[in-house]
Amino acid sequence: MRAVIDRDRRRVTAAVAASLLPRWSRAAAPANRVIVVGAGFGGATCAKYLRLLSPATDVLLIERRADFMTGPFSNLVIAGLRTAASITRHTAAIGRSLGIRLIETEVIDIDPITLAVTLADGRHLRADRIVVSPGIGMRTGLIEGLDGHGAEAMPHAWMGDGQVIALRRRLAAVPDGGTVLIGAPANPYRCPPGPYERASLMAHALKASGRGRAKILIADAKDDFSKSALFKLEWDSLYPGMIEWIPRAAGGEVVKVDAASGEVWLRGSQTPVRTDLASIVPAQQAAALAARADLTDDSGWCPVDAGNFASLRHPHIHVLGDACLGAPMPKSAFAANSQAKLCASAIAAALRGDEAPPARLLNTCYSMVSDTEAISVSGLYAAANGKLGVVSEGMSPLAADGGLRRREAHQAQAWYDGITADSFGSPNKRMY
Amino acid sequence: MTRRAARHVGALCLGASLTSAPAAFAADLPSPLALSCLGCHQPMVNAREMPALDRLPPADIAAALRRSRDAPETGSIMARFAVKLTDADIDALARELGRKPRR
Repeated sequence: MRAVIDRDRRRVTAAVAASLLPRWSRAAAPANRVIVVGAGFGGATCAKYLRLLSPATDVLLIERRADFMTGPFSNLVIAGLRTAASITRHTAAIGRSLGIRLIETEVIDIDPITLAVTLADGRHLRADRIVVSPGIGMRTGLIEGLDGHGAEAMPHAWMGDGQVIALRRRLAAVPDGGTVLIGAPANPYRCPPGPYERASLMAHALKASGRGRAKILIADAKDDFSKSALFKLEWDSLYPGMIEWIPRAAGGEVVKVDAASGEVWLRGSQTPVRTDLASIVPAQQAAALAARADLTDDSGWCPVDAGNFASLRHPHIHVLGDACLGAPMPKSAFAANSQAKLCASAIAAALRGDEAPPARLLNTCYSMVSDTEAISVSGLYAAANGKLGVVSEGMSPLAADGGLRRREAHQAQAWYDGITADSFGSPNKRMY
Repeated sequence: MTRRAARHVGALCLGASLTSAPAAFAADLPSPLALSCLGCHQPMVNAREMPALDRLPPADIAAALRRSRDAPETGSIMARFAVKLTDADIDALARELGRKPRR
């Protein structure tokens, strides 16, 4: 029965993308080509809504990975609460579902002046506009011993690749009484609550499997973090004594690792922390492609006009999602999806010669704190004169009756199904 | 089931072409803010937790948004979005996202 429903859902989604595209259109405009680089939450959403809002536009989506895991819910996979398949998206299927022309290859370079895109196979493609949603890159050279083999031995699992599975396997092997260390980076970085959700779900997995004497240290390069009061409250309640957060001011910053021995040195301490498992999330920047295309500033991220997410360096290139300087929006999947819709609307309006659309955006992030409980942060944002500001923002209340966290966990499941269906075109199967 | 769902989505898209969006953005296209609501409110996915809005009368959506703004439920995500929305914002979103009259 479930299989039938899922099949129907897939058909419906495909039908939506294929048959209803013209209904959102106005009169046909001369064909323009927009190349969208990156089929994650930002790029796939932008390509989809460009097709819907401007059907005469020739939209081409380019993605280098054949498949990837979503960042959202990857900590559930690491904790053994969800299958890897349930959060895996296949690039070819995204193109089919959304009815979008897609090339699966790597973009080697973008010329920001001529708007030429060079592909790995040597092809050069020209566009009238380019949307870049390339994601993040890890900064190297900041933590001694971490680059190269160290990164594999102490997986950050922050990029939706095989490290997610590696980290799940490694967590399963941590002994009762063992030590897990999570290295949390300085701001800004992809998924601000991610390290702390990871600590929560690792504690859940350890406790639920009879390893409640294990300890999780969060070695942090900063002195506060997203939803910190909520996380700390839930840790005290759900996992007393299991999770210890070490802020920067208390020497929490990871400065050196020994991948072979599992030792981790924190700033100011001569004695390493001996770990059974370390997951070090390095400091981040926009993906390398963004720098090659001259879209980054000294911060390593891409400055944009928040009214349409056009690059402040090259206005016919738009930058979405984690790679852009989108504060006060967090670097989240939902933020990328929302930015993509504003960007697509703005490009469609510009191609028609219409005024720019009103620039208002949303974000919603859920963090699971156990297998059945979640907390959230969400907000409404608006741009004025190219700058983004908070209209309203909030998070789950500290004082919550027993049912609220559980209701939020149900909402988190629905949120995941919704945001992935909207961005990638076909709803995921419920895996638990 | 497939046909019924397709009709719902069809209503959304058809409806979107009839709405009047706020500000000077093209009057027949949904605003970016309305599109962002669809990040959660997807047809066929979130029926219980996050209903597909194109099945609801605009008046119901407007009333729900006003409740979220004026008498928020503890822990409600919608209250965080609605708290600064004006009546005009709410009515525009409800028109853009809600069920459309048959033509």
